[in-house]
Amino acid sequence: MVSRGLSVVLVLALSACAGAPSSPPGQGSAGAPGAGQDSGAPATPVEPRAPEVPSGQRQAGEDLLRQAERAMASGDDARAQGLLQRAQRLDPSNPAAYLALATLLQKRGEHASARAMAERGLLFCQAQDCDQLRALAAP
Amino acid sequence: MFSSRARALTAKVLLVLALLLAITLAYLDALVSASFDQRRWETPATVFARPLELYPGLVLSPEALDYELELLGYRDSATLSGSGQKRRTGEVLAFHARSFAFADGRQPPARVELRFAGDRVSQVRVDERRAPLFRLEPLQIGGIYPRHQDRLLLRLAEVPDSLLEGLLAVEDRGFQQHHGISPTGILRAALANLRAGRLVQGGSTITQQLVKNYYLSRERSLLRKLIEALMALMLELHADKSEILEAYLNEVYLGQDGPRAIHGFGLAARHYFDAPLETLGLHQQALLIGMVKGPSLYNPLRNPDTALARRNLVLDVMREQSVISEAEHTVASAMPLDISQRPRVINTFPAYLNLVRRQLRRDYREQDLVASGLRVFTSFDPQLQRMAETAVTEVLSGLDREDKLQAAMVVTRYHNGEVVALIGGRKPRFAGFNRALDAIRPMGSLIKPVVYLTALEQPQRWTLASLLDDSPVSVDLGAGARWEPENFERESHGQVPLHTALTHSYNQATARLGMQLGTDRVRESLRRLGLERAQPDVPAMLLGAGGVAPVEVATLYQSIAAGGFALPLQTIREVVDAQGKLLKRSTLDYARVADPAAMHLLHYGLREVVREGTGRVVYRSLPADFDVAGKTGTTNDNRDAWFAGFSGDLLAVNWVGRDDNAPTGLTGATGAAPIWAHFMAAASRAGLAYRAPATIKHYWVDEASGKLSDERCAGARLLPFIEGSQPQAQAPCSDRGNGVFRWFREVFQ
Repeated sequence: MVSRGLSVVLVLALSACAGAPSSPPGQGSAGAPGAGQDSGAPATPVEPRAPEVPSGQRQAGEDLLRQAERAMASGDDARAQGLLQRAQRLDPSNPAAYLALATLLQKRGEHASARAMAERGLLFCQAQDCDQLRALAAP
Repeated sequence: MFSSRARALTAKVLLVLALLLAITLAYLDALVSASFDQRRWETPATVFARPLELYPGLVLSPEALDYELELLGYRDSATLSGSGQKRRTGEVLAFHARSFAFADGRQPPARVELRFAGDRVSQVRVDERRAPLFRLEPLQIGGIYPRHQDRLLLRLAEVPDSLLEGLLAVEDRGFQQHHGISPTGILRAALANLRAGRLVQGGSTITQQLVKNYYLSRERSLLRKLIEALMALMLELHADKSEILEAYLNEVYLGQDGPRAIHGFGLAARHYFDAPLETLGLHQQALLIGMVKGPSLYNPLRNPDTALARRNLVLDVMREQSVISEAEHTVASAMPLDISQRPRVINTFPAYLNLVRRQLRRDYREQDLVASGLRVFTSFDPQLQRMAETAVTEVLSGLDREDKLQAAMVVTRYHNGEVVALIGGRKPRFAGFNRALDAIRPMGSLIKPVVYLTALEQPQRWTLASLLDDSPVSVDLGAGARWEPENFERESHGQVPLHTALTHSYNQATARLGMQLGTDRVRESLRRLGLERAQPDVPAMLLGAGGVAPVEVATLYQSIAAGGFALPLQTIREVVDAQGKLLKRSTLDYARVADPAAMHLLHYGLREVVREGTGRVVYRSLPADFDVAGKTGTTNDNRDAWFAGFSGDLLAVNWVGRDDNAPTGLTGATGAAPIWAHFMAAASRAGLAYRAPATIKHYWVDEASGKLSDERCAGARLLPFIEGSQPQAQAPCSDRGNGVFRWFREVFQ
């Protein structure tokens, strides 16, 4: 047991020599403390970071979402879908794009697709849109 | 009596001759009409890259945008007086954007100004006003005959009038009047040649030249000339002048680019001037017109002086025929040849176009594809393609001086399944064997994530902390045969946590786990995640003995990267017909193929691979706080080196190996991962960033026993679990013995 523990430390120490980095800032408490504290070896953050998007990218995407909203209001769902897909492409971590696309799919009666779209959006949701996405993702 | 018999005989002979002539004519007529129509049906679809979306905050250097504008044929101009012009002053790049018909409508021309702060766009102004977004026209990356070879098609309306009139002035002045052949043209040509004392005009009409190019051999004989004339007359009966002219403009031979013949003015403009035809100056148009006569003799790259003289002769004719004014003539004649100085490699992306063509055939009806004038909008990203090519070229040249290694690479945006760059071989601009699509190689350890996912989908049986047995394994295959896979370093590791077995790619532990799961179940997972190619039903399949193409690996890893949501890989966003009507748009339609929570656990393992396992080499190129995930793969005797992985925005699959399947001495980590990392460091704009599914909870676990532990205990590691699946038993805690840590604890307890 002791020798295994040693070998783990050794492996991790060696991997540190190989030039692998330490854990990213803000994630310091997560990861492998056994290695992180004792040998300075790299650690895997237990979670990826929370999504954060440069504001310009979010604004550009939101601009397209507003255009899509107008298209939908005027009954042009095909145009709305094109704009929503463009918005999602431009800023794929905006939950609002998934919410709008899921709503559109739901409206068309494509329920399985709507659920999958909403559930994918949950990966990026903020407090307020999480509930709406969760409702659409529920079977 | 005699004379009447002779007359009868003559009449019979004449009748037979007339019949023969009629049959010949009918045959030629059928040939002309059928094949001309067929050729016209095969007018290629025009293929576009993705449009660049410009917005404040976009990571894009002024140089990169300038490169894209250059590719689009924008020209530097201090005054910015017209569309298609650009001007860079320090941190500001201004240009006059052309009008462009996108699939969702025409975008008007606009005066665009971009301010940069370092390698970021800081402000976008459109027509003097700040804008959140501007969509730049996409680069035309080719014309493809969905069923035929590559060519760059022009519509007649896209051809500048001066070029059309100049071409007719030089090649066929009577074109609009004659019926296919032109006796006066022949006479005029003869006179002109006599006057000039050399060959300045040919006697053949445009129609004859087209017929010759389409149907006839290069042989010069009177009979062939006669057939050519007959067929030209017939073609004029079947097609109108504009159809003939358009076909001619796209067919005419204008030189050679290595093994590739340059047919048509569109491709020639790209080849010689690196610009779209409609942006060429008069001097450039005249050069191309002049080259029709002798593409090799008047090749501006090989014989610049001869080409210049020929061009100026054409300009003289254009002035004589009032195609251009005296002033235009003076300016154009004083211009240098002005051919592109950059290496002529622009806009040849054979591997990607190859995939576009296949997907067109897969997703569209034959009758849609043969309609002329289709416009195909794709997700191809020339900037990412350039970075991928650089990564492959630079890393391979460091690994292999003998030029024996080959490579393939597939890059997708996994959030929507779009293929953005593709490399089919070490010389990416050379159309040949497309390894990204057609090289079927064993996938090796790239399969392991699927084995582990299959286990993690049963959280009550397996978690990241479950202990796996990595002792030597022997499976009875029947008939005395046994399967005895070994670890890469030929060592056993005893009991290892599941995440460690994945991270270090232990074969023995994986084989045992796979046998417990069953090959059927693993094969089912592969299919579910999108791998269509059937895998062999043998235990060795569990370690990746089955063959796959790189693009198929991308499909599989796409589902993993997207968190358990499958999307078909797509190149085509929209197809629009000649009238601008949208025929089809790709839809974003996820299929949920795995529990996102189980996939989240797998992501942990794949992130650990690059932080602590076989893929550590990637962080030699990437910053430590940039989160990525991936898996290495190496096949028997180091024949194939693989790496598949993803960041927050891109997925890339890399393969390195030899066409003769000889050992390379490389592993996934030494051969493929460095290319992947080189590319990601340049191309990816976002590290992995998303929220864990709500059912995920973190627990400290004792690595050796797999039992619950505590942050302060030695050998403890914080791992994600699907709620309820965390270990229940508590491991005894021995203090980790860190002095500072102990001191803190004592102070605060």
